[in-house]
Amino acid sequence: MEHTADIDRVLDDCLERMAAGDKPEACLAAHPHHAEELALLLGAAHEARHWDVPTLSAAAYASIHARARAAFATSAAGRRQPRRRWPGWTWRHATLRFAIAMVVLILIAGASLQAAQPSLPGDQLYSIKRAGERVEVLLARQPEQRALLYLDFAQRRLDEAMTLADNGRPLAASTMNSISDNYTLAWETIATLESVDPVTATLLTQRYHDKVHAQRQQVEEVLAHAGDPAAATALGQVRDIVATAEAPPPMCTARFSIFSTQRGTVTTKGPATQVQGNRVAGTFDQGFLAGYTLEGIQDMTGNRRTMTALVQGTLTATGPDGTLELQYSGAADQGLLLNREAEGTFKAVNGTGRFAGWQWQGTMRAYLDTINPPHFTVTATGPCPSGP
Amino acid sequence: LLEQAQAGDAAAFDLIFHHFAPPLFRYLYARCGDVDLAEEIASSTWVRAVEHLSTFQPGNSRASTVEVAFAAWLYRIGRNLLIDMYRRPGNATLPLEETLATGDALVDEHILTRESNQELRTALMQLTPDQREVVLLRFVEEQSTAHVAHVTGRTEGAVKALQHRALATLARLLTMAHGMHEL
Repeated sequence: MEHTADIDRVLDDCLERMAAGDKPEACLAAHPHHAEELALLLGAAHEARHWDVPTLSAAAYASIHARARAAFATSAAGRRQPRRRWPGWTWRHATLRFAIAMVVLILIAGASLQAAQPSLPGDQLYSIKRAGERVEVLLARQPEQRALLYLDFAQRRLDEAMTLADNGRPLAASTMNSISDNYTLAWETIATLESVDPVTATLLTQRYHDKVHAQRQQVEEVLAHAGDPAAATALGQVRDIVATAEAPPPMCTARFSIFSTQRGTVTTKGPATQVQGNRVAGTFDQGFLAGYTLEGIQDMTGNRRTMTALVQGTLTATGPDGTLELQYSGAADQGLLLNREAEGTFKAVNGTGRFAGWQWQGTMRAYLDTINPPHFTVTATGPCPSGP
Repeated sequence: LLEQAQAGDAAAFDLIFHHFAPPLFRYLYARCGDVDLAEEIASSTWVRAVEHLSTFQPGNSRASTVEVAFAAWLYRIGRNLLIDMYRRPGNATLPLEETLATGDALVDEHILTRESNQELRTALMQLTPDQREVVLLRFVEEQSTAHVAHVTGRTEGAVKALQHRALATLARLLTMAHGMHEL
């Protein structure tokens, strides 16, 4: 029995190590007593990876979706709020004291956030409201969640602008910028999804257009009833921002695969691993850089315990029309790593030939295609480059 | 997104459906080994999930994220519907481990003429649904042991033991199949 539990653990350890890039031989050498059995089991695991599990056909997808939506439509009307239950009590004094302290802290933070909700730009509590929104973005695991959040934030900024105008208070440039920034972020996030999940991207695009159209109508209505000339001027500027967002700029996307060609200096300290000066290479296969090759250098910091990773680097795309150098940084937390995803931002910093003076920046989304060797597919998306 | 769907937002529900429908189907297929049945159960799973969506609370789960908690909840509904179907009186369809004999049945002449993919598929279908489930999630979906434990509601130790038994059976079956080829 003990042997069985031991081999369970050793096998899992070997599988995890192989998933991280180790060779099976290393594992067999580390466990000579189990080597013969392990070789058979790891061989079977290798075979199992080739299981061609059928995919859900488009017809079946549509049929199941239609039935689910019909059920959703019926149930949504009379939907109850989720039931709240009291947490079970366990009387552990230390735990209880800690729990009470946490509850008090959470209540204070929650009450502050709640109190900050109606605040407007310039109010004392407004920074708390915006900080709460930044936390919401951090907690949003999926890009579709973030796209919806940005649209929601754009609505909040619009509501604030209209209230300020109604109260005869001036609209600061930062308030205006914040409205357009949220539209840009929503649109960029949706565009990033296009190459990896076109169905979700289509659904979100429709939602974006519906939402922004409704918001423009809302501003037009308030503008039509604005009595104060100063308020009318401010609301006119807001209306222009929403109208611009209604016809968002074309997005330029470049998809590329990237992998390490030369391992950098590795430093390990406890659960943290730092790799500096990793050389990377790859090719662009979709978008306006399709056919271009890339080379670059990047640093990575990972932590096994917290399951977080940070990466930053510079890559140069080279092709017939010139070169384009991009600086990028990204991060992955536990939720993203479980999905084998990471995300970040990039900015063009240098260009030659056709790309001389190009200004292109936006968001990046990376997906780990294969674990051994590590091979990522990355989609970079931003408003199409403008240059001199 | 989940809260929006719980509040009746159909677009939010569509996004959730799109995200979870393919893996749910693969999961059900892994358990029953039948495409048509997996589609039928997937359809019923979604209807059942929609009916009880308002009662789903990720806080009740020990899963690390809402996404994992929701996947675990959805898979559990699907697994229970499959079990209910097999228990239904007069239902001729039985789980694969009951319709197929033990590993000895693998030594069947039609296996000799199949390609290696078919050999693998046939061998996988000799595993129990629980074993196939772990093989799918660990080696096809490439999820960590901890993730599989959360999604299937097992302990990590149980997942490791199940993984060991699945691979041992698979190794034995594939060795037999390859051996027959060599003859």
